[in-house]
Amino acid sequence: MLALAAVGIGFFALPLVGLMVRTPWSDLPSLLGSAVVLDALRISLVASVAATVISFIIGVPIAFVLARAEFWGKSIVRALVLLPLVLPPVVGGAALLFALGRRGVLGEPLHDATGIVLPFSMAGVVVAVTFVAMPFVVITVEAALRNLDSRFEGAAASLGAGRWAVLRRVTIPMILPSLLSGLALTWARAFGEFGATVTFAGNVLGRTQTMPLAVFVALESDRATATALSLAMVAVSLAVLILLRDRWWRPT
Amino acid sequence: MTRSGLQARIAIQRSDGFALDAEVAIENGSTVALIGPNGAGKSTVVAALSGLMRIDSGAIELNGVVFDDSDGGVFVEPKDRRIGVMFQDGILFPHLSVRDNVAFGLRSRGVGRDEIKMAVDNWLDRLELRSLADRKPGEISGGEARRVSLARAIVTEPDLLVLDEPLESLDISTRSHVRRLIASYLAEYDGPTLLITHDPAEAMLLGDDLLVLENGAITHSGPPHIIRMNPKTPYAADIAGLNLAVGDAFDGVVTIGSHRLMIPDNAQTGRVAVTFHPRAVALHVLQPEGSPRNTWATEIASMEALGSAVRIETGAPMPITAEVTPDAVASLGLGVGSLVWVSIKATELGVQPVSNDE
Repeated sequence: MLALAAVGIGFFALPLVGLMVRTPWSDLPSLLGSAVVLDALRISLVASVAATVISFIIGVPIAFVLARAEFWGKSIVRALVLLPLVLPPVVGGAALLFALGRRGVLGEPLHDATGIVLPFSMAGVVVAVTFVAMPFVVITVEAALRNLDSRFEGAAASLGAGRWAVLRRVTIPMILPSLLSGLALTWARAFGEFGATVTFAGNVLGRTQTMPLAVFVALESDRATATALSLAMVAVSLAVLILLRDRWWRPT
Repeated sequence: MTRSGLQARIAIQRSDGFALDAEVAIENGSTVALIGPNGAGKSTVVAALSGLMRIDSGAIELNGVVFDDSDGGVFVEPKDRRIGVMFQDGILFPHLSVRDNVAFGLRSRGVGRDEIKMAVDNWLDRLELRSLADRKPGEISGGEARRVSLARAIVTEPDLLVLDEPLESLDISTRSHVRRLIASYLAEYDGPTLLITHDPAEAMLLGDDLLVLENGAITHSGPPHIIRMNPKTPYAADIAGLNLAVGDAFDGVVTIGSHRLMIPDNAQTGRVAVTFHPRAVALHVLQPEGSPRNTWATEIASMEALGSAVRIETGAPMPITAEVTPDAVASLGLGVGSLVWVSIKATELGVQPVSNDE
C-alpha cells in the first residue's frame, strides 16, 4: 500500500519538479513582466472570476431547483446541466459557436438586435469558461442541499423566520462549506479552461488569449516563456488552495 | 366567546399511502402525552401543528385563532404560529453558538437586542447552560443539547408547546435530569403542552392525559387509569397497563406509602418512580419460597379478559396490575376477592429518579 501510494504521490510531484528544474529562474522577472504574459494573466483572472460570480448567481438557483423542486423531466434537466462535465470541451465550444456564434441560432438575432458579437471577444471567453465550469458549483450545492436535513429549515420557520430569513440564517450557512468548495472548483476549472475557449473565443493576443492558450502557443516557439507561464499558473492555483484550505478545506 | 387551548382535528393523506386522522384537544395549562409506536403518525401531527405540513381535512385552532382549516381555506404560515417546538433529536443549528440558537426565535421576531440578551441569559441560567453559551452544538453533550433545544422553544413564550420525544436516546441519569427541568417548566407554563413519546413511563410522569395513536388513528384518550381498565388494543393495554409508583429510595429499598419494594440498585437515593410490566408480576396461591424478595399477600380487586391474557388488579397494600394466562387463572382458581401472593423480581423493576412535584 505504502509503496503504491509513494508511486502515486511521485506521479503528482514529478511534473512539478520537472517544471521547476526547467524554469529559467534568472530571466523569470522579465519573462513574467512581458506584455503577452501580463495580458494572458489578466484575461484569465478576469474571465475565471467572472465565471465564478455568474456560476454563483445562476448555478446556486439551479442547484436549489434540482434539489428541491419536483417536476417532470427533472432528470433530463440535470443531465443537461451536468453535460459539460463529461463533454469534451472542444465539442462544448463548437456547440456554443453554433448557438451563440455570429451566425448561430441565438447569436444572429442577438447581433442583429444589439450588435453584440460573442465569439472572439472577452465576453466570449467568459461564456466559454462559464459553460464548462458552472456544473461544479451546481453539483456540489445540489448534493449539499439534498444532504441537508429539512428539519433544520422547519425548525427555523417555526421559530418565526420567513423564507428569506431561513435561507440567509440557516440554509446558506449550513451548506457554506460545500458552496465554497463548489465555487473554488468552478474557479479552478475556469482558470485552466482551454478547449471551449479556443474553439468559441479563439486565440486573439491581448483579447481572448488566456494563460493556458498562451502556454500552448509558447510551447511551440518560446520554451522559456511557456515554462514561466506554467509556473505562474501553478503559483496562482497553489495560492488559492492554500488560502482557502485553512478556512474550510479541513477534512473534519 | 373564543375557546382557549388547542383544538385540532388533523387528517392527512400522505403520499406514501399513510393516512392520519387524529383529534387532539389540550386545555391551557395541561399536558397531553401523545403516545404511539413508531410509524403511528406522531411526527405528522407535529408537522401539521407547526405548519410544516398542510392538513387535508379538519382544522387546527389555538386559543380561538384558526391556523389551518381545509374548508375555510385558512393557512397560517409556520413563522406566524407562535408554537414552541422542542424537536426530536434537538435540531440545533450547528453553525450557531448555544446562545445564538436560543436567541434565534426572538431575533426572527424582531425583539430588541437588550431584551433578547436578558431573556436568553435568564433561560441559560435556569437550564444550567450559562457556561456553554459560546459553544457550538457539536461541542456539547446530548443532555445539554436537549436543554438548549428546550430553552430555544420556550424563550419565545409560545402559545403552544410541543415536546417531540424530548428524552429519547438519553442515558438514565441525564434523562431524569432533563425530565425534571421540563416538569418544573410545565408546572409554571400556562399554555397547552403536547408531549410526543413512545415511553409510557415518560408519558405518565409528564402528561396529565394520554392520547394513544396507532396507525394514524387515536385509539384511546384520557387518564392512564381509565385506559387501563378498558384498553381496546393490545398496544394500549401494554402501555396503559404499566405499573408506576412513586416512592423514596434508600439503600436498595423503595418505600411507597407503607409498602416496601427491593430494587437492584443500592446507590439510588431520593424520590424515584418505580415501573414494572404487568407480565413481570407473578401470582401464587401459597406464599412462594426462594428468590423473589418482593412478595406480599393481597386480594384480587378486579379481573378482565384481555385477548390471550387476563388482566388482574390487586388491592391494598399496593394496588398493581398483573397479567397472567387464562390457564393460570383456571389452575390457581382465581376470582375477584381471591387471596393471592404477589411476587416481582427486583430485576424487573425500572427505577428512575423524579422530582418531588411529579
